[in-house]
Amino acid sequence: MKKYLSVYREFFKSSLSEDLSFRANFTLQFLMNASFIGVYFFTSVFIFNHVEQIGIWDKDQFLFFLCFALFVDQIHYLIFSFNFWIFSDEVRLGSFDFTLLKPYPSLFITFFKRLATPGVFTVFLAFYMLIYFGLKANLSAWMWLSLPFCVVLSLALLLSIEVLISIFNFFTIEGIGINQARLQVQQLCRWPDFIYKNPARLWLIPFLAITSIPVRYLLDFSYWTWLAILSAVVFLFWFAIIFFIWPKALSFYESASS
Amino acid sequence: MIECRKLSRDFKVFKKNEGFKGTVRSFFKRDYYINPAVKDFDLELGSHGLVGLLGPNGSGKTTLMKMMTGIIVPSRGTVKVLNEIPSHRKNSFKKNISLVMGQKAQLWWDIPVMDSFLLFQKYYEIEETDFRKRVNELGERLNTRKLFHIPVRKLSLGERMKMELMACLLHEPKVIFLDEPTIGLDIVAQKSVRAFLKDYYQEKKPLIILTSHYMADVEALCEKIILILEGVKKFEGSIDDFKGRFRKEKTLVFNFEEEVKSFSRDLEEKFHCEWSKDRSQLKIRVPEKQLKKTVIQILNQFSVSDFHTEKVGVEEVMDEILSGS
Repeated sequence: MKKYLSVYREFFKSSLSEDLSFRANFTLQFLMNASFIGVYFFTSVFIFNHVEQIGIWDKDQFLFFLCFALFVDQIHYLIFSFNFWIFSDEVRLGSFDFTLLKPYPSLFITFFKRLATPGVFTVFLAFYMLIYFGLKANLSAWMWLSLPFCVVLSLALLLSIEVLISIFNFFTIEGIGINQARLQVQQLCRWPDFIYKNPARLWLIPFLAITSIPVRYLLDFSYWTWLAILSAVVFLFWFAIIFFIWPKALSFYESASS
Repeated sequence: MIECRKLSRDFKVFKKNEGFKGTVRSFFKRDYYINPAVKDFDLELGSHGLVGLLGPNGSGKTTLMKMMTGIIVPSRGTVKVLNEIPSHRKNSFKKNISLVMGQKAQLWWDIPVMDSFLLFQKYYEIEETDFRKRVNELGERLNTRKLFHIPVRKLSLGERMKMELMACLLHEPKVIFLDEPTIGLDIVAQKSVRAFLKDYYQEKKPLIILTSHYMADVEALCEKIILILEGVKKFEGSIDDFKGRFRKEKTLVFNFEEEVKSFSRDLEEKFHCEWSKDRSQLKIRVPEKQLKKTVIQILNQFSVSDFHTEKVGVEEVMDEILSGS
């Protein structure tokens, strides 16, 4: 674990060094990210200026959900998002070869190596909003303790789905469509499951579960069985990815001609 | 150290007819063909040596290297490097090999080289003192120390290649694969990379497998040559054996005391002759078996001031092989 952390620290330093080399780009990325949070948040506030409740949640509960989704989204942006784009390019251009040569699991290097460091500030902003609306939604002490686990679970499910989608890069080579599919998953999980009608919800369950189940649990303990099932599903997903799907997919990698 | 048995790799390649119709048709119905990039390749190499992998573009050299490094999985046959199966991609195996590709870069593009080296230090768990010592030594030899703090994108091609070489040698691998490390470099940079590799090999004695389109690289560095054509091994041996096997003719150069107005018609018809403008020098290509007889014949018939056999380069032999002459 220690050696992984020391490599990860170097990933962070290299990413920061690269991001800070381009000051205008760094500032723009921060501003665009902050505006995304603003637009997403204030759209919901605007809706609540006209209605008392959306689905089963009142304004504070809904905004807590929103901030939870934003926080997961911002951590995802900071740690993982660039890596998915880089992965597509690397598979297409053949520079993924070098990932396979490093003496660390390729899954770790592929999805952890490049951080989007302008996201550091917006993670703090999203974190502040999450705590603020958690207090307004009257979370119990137990739920505050469960909050970090729920964030990790939500992130783990989102990532497992994205990794499963991204694995198709080995077969399709061109990754634009795949990355668009990933972005749609992110888009879907930013809204609560109950806004979809039942038939649609059934098909969208894995994506809607990303944020809806953890937040339903945080707001209502009776959903603990849902959370337990979700935890088991996420564990199984990752077990399958690490030990079967990813290694199998790597055997299909053909590299690119030099 | 490297052992290949009947190693083969096929690629499924998509074929598309030209034009709009071809494009639309290929969207609905794909035509593929199987391209056997490497076929039944057998090889055995010891724990050190400088081996040149020769062959024209698309002959399977890089595919072979990628199978030996575990980047791609063979279709058939087996390969073992350092007693490991490369495609199992064990960390212990990866810590002992290195690959430099002249056409691909592994250093981070926008950050100073030293930042990338620090990342490599962590990857390969190199002790701080060893790391500093190796970086300084390699930087000294390649004359790159002043470039450590410049972003990679600001370096020239030659400087970048030297840095790629440094990055691949920091962990002192036992097997080094160099895929066209001098491609696109100017003569000075090529020579400097060549000299560095020679020194490095003399000192550390790893096993180095080199591919290059510059035959000067191969002649200057390699003790052994492997020729691969259309995925099949055609030759394995020393450079001299290589020249001897594929070059059955020798070039004789004669300098005459005066202009030769009429030469032996018989020789001119039988062999390829090349005269200097003033017809005082002749280059004649003669099959090895007839060398002695031809020399005696010319010495007897003409007043020769001196003569010698011209040294044949690997490049000339490769030219002949590739042009099918």
